[in-house]
Amino acid sequence: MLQTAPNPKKGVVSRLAQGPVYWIAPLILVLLVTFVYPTFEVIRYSFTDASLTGKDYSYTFSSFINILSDSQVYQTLWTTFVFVFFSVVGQTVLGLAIALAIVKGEELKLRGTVFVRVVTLLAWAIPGVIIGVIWKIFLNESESGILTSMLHAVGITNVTFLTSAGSALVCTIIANIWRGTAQSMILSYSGLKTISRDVLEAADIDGASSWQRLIHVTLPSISSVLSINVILNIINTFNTFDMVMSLTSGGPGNSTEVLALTAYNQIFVHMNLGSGSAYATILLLINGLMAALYFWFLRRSGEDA
Amino acid sequence: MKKTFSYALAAVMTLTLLLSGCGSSNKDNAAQNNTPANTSGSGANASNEDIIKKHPGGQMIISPQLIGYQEAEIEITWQPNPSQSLEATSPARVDYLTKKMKAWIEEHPNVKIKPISTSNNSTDNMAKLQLKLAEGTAPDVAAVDSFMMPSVAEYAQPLNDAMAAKGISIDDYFPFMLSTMQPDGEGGDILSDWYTTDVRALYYRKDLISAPPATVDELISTAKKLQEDNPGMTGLIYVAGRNEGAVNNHLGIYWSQGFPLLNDDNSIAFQDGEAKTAMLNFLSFFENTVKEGVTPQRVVEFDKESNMFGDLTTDKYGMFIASSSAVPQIKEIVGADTFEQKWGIAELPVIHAGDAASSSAGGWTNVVFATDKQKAELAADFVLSLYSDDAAAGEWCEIGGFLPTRRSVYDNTPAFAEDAYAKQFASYLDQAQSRPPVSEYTALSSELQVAIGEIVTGASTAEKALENIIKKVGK
Repeated sequence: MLQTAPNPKKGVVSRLAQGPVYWIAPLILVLLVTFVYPTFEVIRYSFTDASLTGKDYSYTFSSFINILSDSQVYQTLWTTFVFVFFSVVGQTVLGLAIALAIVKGEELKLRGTVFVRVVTLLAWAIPGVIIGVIWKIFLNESESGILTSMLHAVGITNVTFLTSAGSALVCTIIANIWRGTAQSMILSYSGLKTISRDVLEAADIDGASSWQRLIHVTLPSISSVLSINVILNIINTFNTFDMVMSLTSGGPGNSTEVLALTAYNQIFVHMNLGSGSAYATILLLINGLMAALYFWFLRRSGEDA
Repeated sequence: MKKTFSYALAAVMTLTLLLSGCGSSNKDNAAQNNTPANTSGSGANASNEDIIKKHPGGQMIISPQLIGYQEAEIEITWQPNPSQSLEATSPARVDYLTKKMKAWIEEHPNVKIKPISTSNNSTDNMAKLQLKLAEGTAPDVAAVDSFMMPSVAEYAQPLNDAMAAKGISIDDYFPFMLSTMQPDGEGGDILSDWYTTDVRALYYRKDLISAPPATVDELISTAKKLQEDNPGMTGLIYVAGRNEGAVNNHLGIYWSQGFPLLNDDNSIAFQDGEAKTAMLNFLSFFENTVKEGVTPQRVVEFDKESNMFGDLTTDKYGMFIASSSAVPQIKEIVGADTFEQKWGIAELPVIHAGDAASSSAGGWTNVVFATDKQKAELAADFVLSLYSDDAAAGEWCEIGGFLPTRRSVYDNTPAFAEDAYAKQFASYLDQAQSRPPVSEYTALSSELQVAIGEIVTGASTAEKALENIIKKVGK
């Protein structure tokens, strides 16, 4: 009986057909064009002196050297870290508090828990630029300003919001907390819903107070979700520039200028593509680090489960 | 793993090269862009005219997406200023433009205009336009901020013939516009048509102030007196938010001292000597108005002139600094009669008594980028017919609330010839300057905006802010 030799070409094709290559090829192509290529270009431009207006450029480290030797950059970095730290703390704590309230409301079969969820999510659905405009109107310091007139009505005058360096940063953080609380609430809520009722009932039987139950049972049970929540909040807040742009434009002075806004200004106001790309690359590195942490926590939470 | 990584890297590099290649080929295509009627030689004009007049059939469309007949053979891409296009929020502007476009298409039925929609952020739009120019994908004609025009001049096509055909003379324009419109000087190519302008002035309550202040010191003392005589009144407000207006609206105060912002080599001109003192005087204007209590710190909230207008309706403000475009806008809010009864205008104050006042003027230009001769001619004719020729300029500026850019339009248009404000603004335009059209100015302006914010909020003094600017921009 004759034996036919296996066709090596056919073997490769059929092996590929059995694997995931054909399925994920379109996705890889889309990712290459829409993500990898632009990222590669941003990093490449960061090592050039390219301008948005000129055609010619040369490769140089000058953008990074200029950034690192400019004292203003350290001020911007400090502002960015303050903005990110307090925004993330506020978003996470408030998101968790609202999620706890909703879960408790559901346990007690109270009406309106869905309404609370929807209202909280509304802030998430509004674009950052609009949020900036809304808060700008709200914090307007003229007599017709919403918050100002409310404070005047109760006898509080001469309060500054966006017109002094310190209060402008505080107001920007508050606006960002308002914006990001919804995402935290959703993640915390989903985490809380995974906690076994048996565990909570056992804690009740053991005589744990509400506070002890929160600290020793609830939070440890959702620690992985909270960690992921914090990291996503950090990434989102580091990338925030649209809201800051429409709320303060980075002012007064440089008091609310964050790293993402500096990158935007360098490219679109100063037309300095090289320098703006260098700022974007620094931001990318920070976000890359956060993303690595995110995946580490994700894997750890998978192992814990 | 190493092998997989190498393949992935190779794929990215190949894709990058391929995509970069696509960019280059676009450029080549743009350079070779020809219309069906792009012919040369004798007899071509008659034939071109026939093609342009050929009726393509169908229905004429005047919309933000298309102007003309869908089947027209010649297509011109046009990037207008959104607020001066069919996307404008003012019905009067849209009605005017629709009327003009309809008339133009009736004359040129085989030409369709494809407007390019952009955002209202002119800084973004100009940056993107420059990117398109560098890539070779620019529109055939575009509205360009007069301040940015020199940075696109290398791509601009001459408008000499088109302007001559419309009877528009370069000598009719205000002096400060000439270097932008005709970069090579008298006799050189006209590379842009400056079709709207504005100029900065001091607005004062003429029912409360008998003679407007001429110097900064007088301004502060007048504002103080106003506040004393009218409890609850704020003497002076201006734009101090982090935006170009904070600098541009007040530059005249610096220029009145006779010093430029930049030297010929584009280095900053006020690093030392008298020019440094002049810049310190300029920054001290902001410091002193706040310190003397005539201007509230709250002015850093105003990053646009229009942010002040709501407050101005309350009758609690004595003076403000704004551009000429504030007149029609405030008239619309408070009514023309009320505005004319209360508000007068004067030149920006000077630092030293006796110095000639100055002001910053801006506005928009139309620039043709089409390299195809016929398209360039048609594109130029289209925008000149909309905004600039004798049949358009007066009406357009009146409807849009702009100042005309040609002296004859002031004389020939009743709305300007009989308007006291327009006459005054026209006299300010004779002394006006435009901002240095170089990237160094943009960097300087950014630092000045930051400095003004810090000075007004008390985070810095004028002296410290000046040293900081020199340290940052002077290097």
